Amino acid sequence: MSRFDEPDYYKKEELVQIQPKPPRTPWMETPVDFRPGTYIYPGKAKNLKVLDLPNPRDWAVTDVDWQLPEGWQKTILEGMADRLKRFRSFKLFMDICVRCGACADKCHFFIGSGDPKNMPVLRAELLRSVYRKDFTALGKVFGKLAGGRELTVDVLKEWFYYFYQCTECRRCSVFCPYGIDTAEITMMGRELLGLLGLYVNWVIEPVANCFRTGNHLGITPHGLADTLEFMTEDIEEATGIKIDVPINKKGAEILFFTPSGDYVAAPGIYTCMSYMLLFNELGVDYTWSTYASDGGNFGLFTSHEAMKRLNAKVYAEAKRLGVKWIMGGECGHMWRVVNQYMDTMNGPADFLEVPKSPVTGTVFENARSTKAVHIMEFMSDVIRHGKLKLDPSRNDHIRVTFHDSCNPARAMGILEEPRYVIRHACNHFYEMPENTIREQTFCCGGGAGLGTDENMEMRLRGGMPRGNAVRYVQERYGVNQLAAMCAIDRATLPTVCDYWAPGVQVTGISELVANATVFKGEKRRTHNLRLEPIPGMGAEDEESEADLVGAGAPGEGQGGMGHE
Amino acid sequence: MVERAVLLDLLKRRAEAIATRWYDAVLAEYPEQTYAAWKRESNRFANPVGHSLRAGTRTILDAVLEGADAEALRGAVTDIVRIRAVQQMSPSAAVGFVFRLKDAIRAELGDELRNGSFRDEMAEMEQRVDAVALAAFDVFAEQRELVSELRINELKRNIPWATGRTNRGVVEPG
Repeated sequence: MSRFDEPDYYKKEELVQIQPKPPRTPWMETPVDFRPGTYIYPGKAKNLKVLDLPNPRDWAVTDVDWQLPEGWQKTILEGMADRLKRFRSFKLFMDICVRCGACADKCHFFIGSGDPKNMPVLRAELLRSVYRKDFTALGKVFGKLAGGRELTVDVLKEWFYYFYQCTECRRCSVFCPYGIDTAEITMMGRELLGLLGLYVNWVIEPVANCFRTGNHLGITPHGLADTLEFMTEDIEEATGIKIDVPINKKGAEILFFTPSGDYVAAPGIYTCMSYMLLFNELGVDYTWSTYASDGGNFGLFTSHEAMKRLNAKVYAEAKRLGVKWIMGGECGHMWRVVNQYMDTMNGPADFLEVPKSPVTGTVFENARSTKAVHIMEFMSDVIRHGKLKLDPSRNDHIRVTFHDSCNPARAMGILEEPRYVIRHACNHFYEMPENTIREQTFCCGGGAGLGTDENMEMRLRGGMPRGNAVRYVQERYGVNQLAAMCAIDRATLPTVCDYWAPGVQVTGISELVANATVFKGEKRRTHNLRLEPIPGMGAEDEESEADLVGAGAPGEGQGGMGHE
Repeated sequence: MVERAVLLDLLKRRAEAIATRWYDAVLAEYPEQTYAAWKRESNRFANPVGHSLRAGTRTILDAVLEGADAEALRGAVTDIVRIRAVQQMSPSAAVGFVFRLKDAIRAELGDELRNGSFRDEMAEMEQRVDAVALAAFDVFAEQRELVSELRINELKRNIPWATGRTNRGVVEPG
């Protein structure tokens, strides 16, 4: 052995002769530890009943007896056989993994938690082991030796735990040489669990609400009208502009829909206000719908059937209102549904026209089939044609970075438009490191129905890689805002930032644009849409005492908001 | 006094090796596959936990050797404890990694410590490590409180808006 003052010394393998201790049992025999903070409460019976789903009952994840229906193993195996026939991708993904390990350390939940069953390869293995045992010749004969295992209650509990620890973000699939898409495996796992009435309430309640009212929050038509009207009061206070809210307007040119999360919670509400303000400025003839009142679709996190049922309202409402085309707001998973499923699921939308911007005349060829345009596509085109008067210096107190939301980035490939818009609305834009953005972006940790407060500890583990990259640009460039075009991001990233990068606030992109826009007939702009004083706009002199709640004072986090 | 200076000097010269041993011992507490993956990947964004453990253990060791005050020790342990406070481990395990530093020092200085050399000096050094453990406990408790607070804050972000909506049109007293 070399001496300690020789360079080789520190590289010596003898220096560290420690053998990792756990796991004390092989993965198949390591039971799930349902620790509070790491799982989501189960779906309530009343919600399952609304949707005619099997085995509605009230139960708890920590119950020993999950009240499974008679013959549940048979139900699962038949459900698996059915799906192996229906979905070619599922069959392929069960067979082709060679366990190369490329995906192993790419999942944000693995990276943050260190739990090997969060390695995508092992997450898939949870299903594959059962598949092997019952659907492959080798597995039928050799069982465990061939990597197969019996379907037991413990296996089921493990599925429930880990398939609700996947945000279906598809980061791992970027690295898989075979293109195995773990999101689709998780979808299958959740569908199979659903056959036994095993859902999480954070997903199934929104689905039930949406089925009844058209949006996840169960907001009734008059409630939605009130909400939007109330926003116009704040808009007027901030800008001096009084706007009308077109609701269920027949014959409007565009049907606009956006995630319902933006109706109720900060900071999403400011994004919602911005849509209305910007459409008003541009003279866009659009309408909200109180029925197609949610762009989000938690059916995607439930089953193909649920997704289709919830999505059907979009084209139906477009037809009823007689619009020409559809525009959608800043949402994540909504765009996976719209971009990849809506057309074949509920189309063809042959009664609509190919979207053409009323402001610039640009035809959105990319939306020729779905007839649905992303607001960032629309807005970047508007800015490109100089149709908005922007004064980015109004955002000079903001040093912003951009979080690519998983679905728009990886499922839709919309990478440049949001950046183009941000660069025109802000003078200080800083990218996070290359391996944490664009196709390689890290999830917020709260997607695919995981973003509920009882799951906080797990979300913070999953949000760690994103939070870590945010903190890096915060320390390096003084970044103080994180822009994201996804409602789940706007709901969950404030928490991720408060824990991993305290001091960074979360914003939608449209909000940045609205705050930078010089509107026709605006009053002197001293406050932004959050009704916080804008530094350098003279508000401090007039009301230095105006310490509005949630204005980002140190240590306050993002707990409150600017409404008193 | 001379002995003390000699031990400190020895520790400083061997700090890299001690930190390596310590880091490896902490990493080895994670499952085998995790240990392998985190040891292999050195990019700080691809492997933030592994990176924080590696960098953090060294930062803490340097603080110990410099005789840093309580505030500086807190700062040094924060990165690692913030991570372990939300991982699937008991509170004692989350902060217990600090004590593995004692093992690392003894393993590295095995020859020099034989025959009872530096006994008093080592006792003092180990007291410093205990102070780090206490700092880690403080940070751990703070982070757990923060987790609860974050849950409350998420609810708060909804409530003012809902209340405002309900109260619309109601004339406020005063």
